[in-house]
Amino acid sequence: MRWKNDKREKLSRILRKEYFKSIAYPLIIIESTLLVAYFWSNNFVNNVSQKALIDETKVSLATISQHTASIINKEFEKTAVSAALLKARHEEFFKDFRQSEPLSKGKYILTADGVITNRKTTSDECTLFYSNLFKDDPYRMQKAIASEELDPFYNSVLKTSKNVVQAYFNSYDSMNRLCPFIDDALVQYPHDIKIPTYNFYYLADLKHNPDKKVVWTDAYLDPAGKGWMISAIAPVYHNRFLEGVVGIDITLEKIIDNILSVKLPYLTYAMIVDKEGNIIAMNYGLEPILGIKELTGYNYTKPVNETVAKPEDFNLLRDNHSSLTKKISVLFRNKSPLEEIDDGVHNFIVTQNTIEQTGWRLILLVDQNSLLSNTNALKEKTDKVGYIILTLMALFYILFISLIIRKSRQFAGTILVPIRNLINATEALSNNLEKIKIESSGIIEIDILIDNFMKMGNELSELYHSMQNRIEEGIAQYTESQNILVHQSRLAAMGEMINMIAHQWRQPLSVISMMTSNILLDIQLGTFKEEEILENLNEIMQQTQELSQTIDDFRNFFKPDDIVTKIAVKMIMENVKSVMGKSFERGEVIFECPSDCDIEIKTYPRKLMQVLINIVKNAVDAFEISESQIKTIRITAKEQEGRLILECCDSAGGIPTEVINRIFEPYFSTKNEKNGTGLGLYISKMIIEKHLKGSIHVVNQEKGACFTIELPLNLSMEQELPNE
Amino acid sequence: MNKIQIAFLQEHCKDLSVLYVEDDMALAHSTTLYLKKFFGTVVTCFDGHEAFEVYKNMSFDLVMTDLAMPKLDGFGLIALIKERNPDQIIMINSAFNDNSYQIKADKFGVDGYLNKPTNNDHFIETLYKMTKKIIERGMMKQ
Repeated sequence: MRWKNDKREKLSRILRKEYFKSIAYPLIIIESTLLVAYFWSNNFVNNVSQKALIDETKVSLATISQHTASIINKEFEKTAVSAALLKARHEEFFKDFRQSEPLSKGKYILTADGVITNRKTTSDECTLFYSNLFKDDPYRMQKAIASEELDPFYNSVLKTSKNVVQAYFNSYDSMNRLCPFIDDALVQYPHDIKIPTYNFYYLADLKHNPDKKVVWTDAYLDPAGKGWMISAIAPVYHNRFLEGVVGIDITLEKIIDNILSVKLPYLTYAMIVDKEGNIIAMNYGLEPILGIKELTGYNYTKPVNETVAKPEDFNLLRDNHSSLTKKISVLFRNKSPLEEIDDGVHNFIVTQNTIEQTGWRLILLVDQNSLLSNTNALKEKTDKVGYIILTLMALFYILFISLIIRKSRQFAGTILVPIRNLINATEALSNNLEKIKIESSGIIEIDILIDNFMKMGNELSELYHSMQNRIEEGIAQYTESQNILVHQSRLAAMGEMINMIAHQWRQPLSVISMMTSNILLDIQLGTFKEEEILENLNEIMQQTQELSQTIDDFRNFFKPDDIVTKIAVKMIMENVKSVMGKSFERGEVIFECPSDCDIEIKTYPRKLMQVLINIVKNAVDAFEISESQIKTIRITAKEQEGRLILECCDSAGGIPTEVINRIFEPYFSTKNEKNGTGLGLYISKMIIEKHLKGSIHVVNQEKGACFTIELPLNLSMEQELPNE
Repeated sequence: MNKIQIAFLQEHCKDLSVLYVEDDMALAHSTTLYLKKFFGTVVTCFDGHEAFEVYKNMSFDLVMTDLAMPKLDGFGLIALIKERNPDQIIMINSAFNDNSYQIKADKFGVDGYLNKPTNNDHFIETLYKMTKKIIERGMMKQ
């Protein structure tokens, strides 16, 4: 048995499914739950520890930031103290200084354009550069030489801190004394340098610094060639006259190297910003992050004539910066001590502390990613362990599942093999209906099924064989009855033939008989005339010919007809008319063909004639009981799509509607007395359908019944059934 | 016997008239020749309708008709004639040789039934009977 488009499942599949459901699924669910728990807890622990780490870092970072800020403050303080000391020393110097005769010039040189400078004679020599602005002052040289006694102070200031790069004094008349020594002072300084115009001078004057204390400059470019720097400067007054300004320089390079390089276990950046938001210094690494290039070095292509401040780019408050810088500027404005800043790329913890000395801010940025790198690495490790477990588990399951599949197959096999045997047996039974024998399966339920099936099958088999016998008997009986039927129809046809011959012979026989009577009467009356006798004899001869012709017609008609012959339809009609015409008294058989009367058909002509005669005969019989006055039987022939259509319509009033559907049944007849075998139309239908491969139908029309016969124009021999 | 009947017919039929109805031309011709050997007047018609038209204008001593004919068949004609003249002597000459036709003919009051093909002796005998009837009826009228 087979089912198409079936949603049912094979038993082996069901068993396997159930196996999976009961064994594999729970295990898989438990294991995957464990895995999920593992990854989830890993993730949770990691998150918690990261958060803790960040919180801890924030706390420590605040302290570190505070600490660093205070270190820087200390450093600045120290420098400021040094500056104050230096200022005091200079004020003392100017108090003692008396303009007198110039000392020996020694190492001091007066250049042609009026600049006074010195040569380096000892390792701790300080540079002197006296601008030529007041070259007519006669005491210049004396002042220059006298100020040499200040050199040890500069040197000691230099030693106080490694951040200090220069210590110096600038006088109101542009004398500069500076340590350590500059080898090419004549090249570095503009010869007519006007020092009071520089920020490291004027920021300390009375106007900018009325308190006369130590002040800090912004970052500026050092004219002495030390690059970008800041200075702690202090005015030197003598009797309220500003003699000059002392200064201690710290280059940004040094600040960055020594102060901002905060050593922490994670990536940290530092920057110092002044009150106006100008970045004074920052780590190298921070530059690309902020998008600002730090100016640590400076290319001295020419002497620096004026104060060169840091470009505006270095102002955090300007609004043409990256989003990160903007966020830092917000932090700067709000003065918030600690914040997390995230621009999508970088994630920083940022602290901010004020350096009291200068009012600047120290801003520290800690990269959270680097902070979390350790915990992230740990998480990766645990995840890796998780994946390894997952892989091992998958391997285990593949092994386990294949084992289960094998097991389930074995299990299914123990049930399926007997069932399959049963299926094969049922198929064998359905194919052959032979008695069957199935081996015991070892499973009680299936054995019961097999037993029942075998019983049923055997009963069915016996029943089948007995039925087969009965069917064979039935077929034999049917064949016999068919033969009887054919025989009867032949007898009927012969009977009709005899009737028709009798009818057709009667007229010529009557004539012959009458002629003979005439001759006999002439003899008896003695009015014997030779002419008359000859005439009568000729007539008799003619009539006997006609009798003979009739016999021929009928004999032709009843000859066995076993070859397919090509014949004009017209010929068949002529024959039908000659056989039927004489028996159809007072009526007319009309044959017409609307288009082509020479249609030829390859068929069994006499079989076709037999059918036509039968139909015409039925019509003739119908006229006997009909009331119609015009008795015509009209046969039309036409060709249509390779087939011959013959229509035979009479005007005898038609077939009663209650019997029209039964007229082709065997033994059905409305004629009770003569000629009524009830086989004519049944046999006709059989001939048309079985022998001539055509069809026959009947309908009632206005005037009478109309039979339509459809036949193939080319009947081939093989198509015909063996003759009965 | 035959000769006596022939002589009787020769003697009495010369003044008698016959209406003969037959649709087959050859037979009609032959039979007409035969009847003329006895009867003074023989009118031959080829169907019942024609015959009745003739009969309406003429009186005949004997009507001899076929049964199967176009337009008006033998019994139709007989019925019309009997309606007009119930005493008319009528004989049938038909190929319907069943008893049923003879019984039907008796019911119509037909006087003689002659089968086809016609045997000469039967013909003479039937004509003899008919002629006798005609003479008897004529004598009764007188």
